[in-house]
Amino acid sequence: MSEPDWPRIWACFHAALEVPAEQRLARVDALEPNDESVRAQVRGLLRAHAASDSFLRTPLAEQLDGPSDEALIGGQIGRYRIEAILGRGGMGTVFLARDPGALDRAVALKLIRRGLDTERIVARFELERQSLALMQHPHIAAVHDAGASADSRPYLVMECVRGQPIDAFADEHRLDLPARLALFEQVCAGVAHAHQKGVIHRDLKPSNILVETLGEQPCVKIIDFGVARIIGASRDGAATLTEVGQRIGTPGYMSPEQATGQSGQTDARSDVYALGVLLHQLLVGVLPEPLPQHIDAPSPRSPSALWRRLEVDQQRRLAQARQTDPRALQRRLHGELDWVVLQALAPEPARRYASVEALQADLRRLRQHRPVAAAAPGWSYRVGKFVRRHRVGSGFALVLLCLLALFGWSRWQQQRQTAQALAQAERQRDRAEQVSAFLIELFQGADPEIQQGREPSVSELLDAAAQRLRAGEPGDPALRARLIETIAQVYLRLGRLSEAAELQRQGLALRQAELPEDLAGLADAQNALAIILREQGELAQAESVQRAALNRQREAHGPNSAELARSHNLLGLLLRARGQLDLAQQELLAAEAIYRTRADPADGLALAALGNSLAGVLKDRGDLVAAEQRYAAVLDWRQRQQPDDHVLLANARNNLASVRIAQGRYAEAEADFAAVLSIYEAIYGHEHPTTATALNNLAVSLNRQGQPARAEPLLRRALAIRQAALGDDHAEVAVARYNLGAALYGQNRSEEALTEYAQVETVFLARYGPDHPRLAMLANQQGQAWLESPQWREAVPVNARALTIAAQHWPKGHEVHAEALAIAAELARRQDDLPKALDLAQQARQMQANRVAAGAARLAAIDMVLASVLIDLDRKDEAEALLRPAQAVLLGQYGADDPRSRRAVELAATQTHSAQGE
Amino acid sequence: MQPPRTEVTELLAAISSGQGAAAEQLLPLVYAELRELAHRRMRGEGPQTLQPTALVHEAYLRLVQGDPSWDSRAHFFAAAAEAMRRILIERARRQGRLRHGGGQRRLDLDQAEIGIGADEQLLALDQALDRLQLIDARMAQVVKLRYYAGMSLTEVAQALAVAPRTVNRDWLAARAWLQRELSPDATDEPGSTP
Repeated sequence: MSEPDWPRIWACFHAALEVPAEQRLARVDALEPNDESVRAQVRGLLRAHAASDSFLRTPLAEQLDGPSDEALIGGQIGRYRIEAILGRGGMGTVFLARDPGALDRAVALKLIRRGLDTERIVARFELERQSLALMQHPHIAAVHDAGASADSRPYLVMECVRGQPIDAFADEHRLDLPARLALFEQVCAGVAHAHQKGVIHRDLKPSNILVETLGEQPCVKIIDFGVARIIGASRDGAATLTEVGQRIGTPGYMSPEQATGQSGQTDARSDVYALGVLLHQLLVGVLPEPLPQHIDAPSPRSPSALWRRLEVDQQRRLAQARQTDPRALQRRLHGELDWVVLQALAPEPARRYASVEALQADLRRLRQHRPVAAAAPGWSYRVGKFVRRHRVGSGFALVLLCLLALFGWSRWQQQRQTAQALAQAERQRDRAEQVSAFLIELFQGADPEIQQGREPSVSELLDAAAQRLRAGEPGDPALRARLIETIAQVYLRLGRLSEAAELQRQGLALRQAELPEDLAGLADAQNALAIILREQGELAQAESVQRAALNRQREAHGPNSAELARSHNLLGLLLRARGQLDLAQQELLAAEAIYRTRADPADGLALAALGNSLAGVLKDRGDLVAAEQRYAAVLDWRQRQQPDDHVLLANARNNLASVRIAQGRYAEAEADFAAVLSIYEAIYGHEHPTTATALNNLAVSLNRQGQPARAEPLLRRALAIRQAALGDDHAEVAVARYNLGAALYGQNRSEEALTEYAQVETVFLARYGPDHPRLAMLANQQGQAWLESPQWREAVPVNARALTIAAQHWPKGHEVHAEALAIAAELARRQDDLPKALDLAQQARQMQANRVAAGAARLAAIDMVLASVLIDLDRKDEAEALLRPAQAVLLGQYGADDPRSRRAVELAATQTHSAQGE
Repeated sequence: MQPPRTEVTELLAAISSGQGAAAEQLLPLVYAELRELAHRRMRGEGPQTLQPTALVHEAYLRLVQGDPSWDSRAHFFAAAAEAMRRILIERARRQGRLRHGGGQRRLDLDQAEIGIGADEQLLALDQALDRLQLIDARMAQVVKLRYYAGMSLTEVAQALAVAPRTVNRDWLAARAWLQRELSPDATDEPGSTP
């Protein structure tokens, strides 16, 4: 990264400080409309400025001043006899003291450091005295008294707590998650009590939450309740209480409204936020991510997502302190604990738990294994959140089911609005009643639980609905089939593929048995099943179902119907996924022909989708020019017709960039993929499979530019997301792994790469069969990696496989084929069959040169092979002519660590050496 | 006439005339003087507090003779701030050891603040200041004079021969920058809303 433009940053920062706090971000945007890097710097500095109120204000010497605290031991402050020093902190020194009054009890006396307004603090204490006295709770340390010492320093007298900060206590006792949650519930109980009495803490953090052991039972004591309010001279929160460095420990506990100095907005929910931070810390062992800069920015990363990003060593250590292992801990965090923490940590107070009681209620539900009220974060903001396996609140479930049922109903009505209007209307009314009866019973079934204060989740309602449908309700088969298909769709979108497939099959069987005359319904049901099967990766089955659907559509709607065209498109996509590119193209062209004949403007969207399908096949076939034209046309169409649909635009841009990769225009592709990634992250969040796709693609563009070390972490993230969402043996998981292998190879870690490739091979074989083009690509990668190892002969059978598949799929030549030939040439050379090696290398070079311009790295890699053969043949001049430029290209493109570059450098070196020897 | 006085005055003149090496020789002299003054005070000779401003001014009176230019005055205070920084950090470390090693049974009130350790905090600030120095030397200088030498805005403005307003701007910007540097994981979120 380049050095920030400091003069501009400072200028912008000072200009922003000239306007009131709430206008500053707008001012920054206005001053630097074009430079996000400057804006980001200034925003960060403004945030720091807002939190730096007292930072460095007191000169260091004054803080160190006064060793005399020790001298106070044995003396007296007010009426309290000082016995020992308990601790020192930002506020001052805490003494163990004795209250010689009637109780003669031990107390903690907090002597506030110099520099704060003593009179005001004592006056505030008097103001707060009443509400403080009202707080009587086993988990709150009482504040008894306040006063001024002889040298005018203010002090506070509190219940003496001999305990350990909660996080240290939990770690030291290696508490597991349930025990940590139980402690945390004690904290909540204390805070909730104080809130009822009208006292907000404002500075909750582990050092203020101590755990005593009474007998065997740990007991939480919250100290300093109300103290922030009493001492906070100019503003709320901890900022006024702490000094340089001393801030470092706890800035993360401050809620956004406190951190930005909006003290008027500080309320009980600010404590909820701090509790969220504490819960995060207790569960994960680290603080949550720093706050996003805008209140409407995407929610912070979930605890389980943050966990995944920790170092392995740290994970192991933290998991041990929680008596579990890293994977189990991640599983435990994932889902409901994530949502509870995120709901407490919502940047905007209105989106947090409204009270500590609400947070407590969710913790109770969690303990009783009931679904929580907290929902997946930002759910209503994010289009794609729908596609996740989540339980969400029942209010949403109700709306969803009703909408879907109505949707099904209205379509069903449209289809049947023709004949026998009267009788139809009667039947429709009858059916409408059956739908509502079905829904009502469904919710009545869930009612006892609602009565008990728990909300049924979407999944539970769906499962209940599926159960009823299987049992034959409602009686009308057409209606039942429709509802079955609707629920199957919801399962599909929730990612519960096997349930979706099972239900969809039932719907199909029902139609075949009882509604054989409804061809259109049958065809739609088969289409839907084929899509589910494709998602499951059951490509062969999907194909046969899709073919059946296509024939039905033709029967039902005729040869020129949009339905038939769509089926052709779907079949084409399936065939492409199966690697049958010729057949795929045929299907897609058939679809296009239908749309052409129809010339219906309403087909625009479908045509755009078809354009994508066709471009994809063209790309796979290696016809990059045509593929680029198609994708560009789709992007153009979308920009004109759907300028606000950021997802579809991003998709189109992604597709176009993928062609750029194939064309070797990596830097352009990188910029596009980076843009697409930020759009997907904004819309889908950080853990969505679509986001993983963008990560994967961005990483590929980096791999190809010789930046495998930058690509590797992106690929590991993509891999983890896909594994979590799709399971280990999904093709998409294998694809991410394949690219990870390439990134490892590029860092000269061929052995690790081969391990990844072996896993990829298993999945590819199971998913695609032995003849799929992807297996040829994989075989090339494996071949190259083996060439780096002493067992390079292992590459021979692998390479033979690559050549067979490549010749079959790309008889007219292709990058993959050319690379396979080059590997074969290298193998022949190493086996001393130089004529064969020369022939193969020349074939490879010719094939690749026809495809890409001179200077392309992949051509240079082949040139290297050819050059080494020529050297062995003692044709050194010819070799020299290839060697120098190829070496430069490889170093420039792949970097010095890449095995290809290394080989080029070695080769050039030996060449020079032997030249000198002559 | 005491030798150190002449030496310091001469060194200041040398620095002002552009001899960079003289600055390196100045610092140990100023440091030794300030340390001696501080020690004497802690032994009960003179006022019981470590008022750095007072110390620095006293050292100035003792070490610099005559009425040198603004320029050399600034050089002196730069050296004094640097010396104070070292003295105070040593002192903070000593206090830290006292606390950690003391026989007192210590309850961890405000544990987060104590736990990190004064040394590490100061060290972190120190390193951040070194980085700030590379970005904007004057800003770093303002922080040293304010925080380590305990000078007021006006005093810093005099020492650096710039307008108080300029010092204030530097001070605000430097604090924000350092605050950000010292916050854990204070990375900026990438990108903005589309």
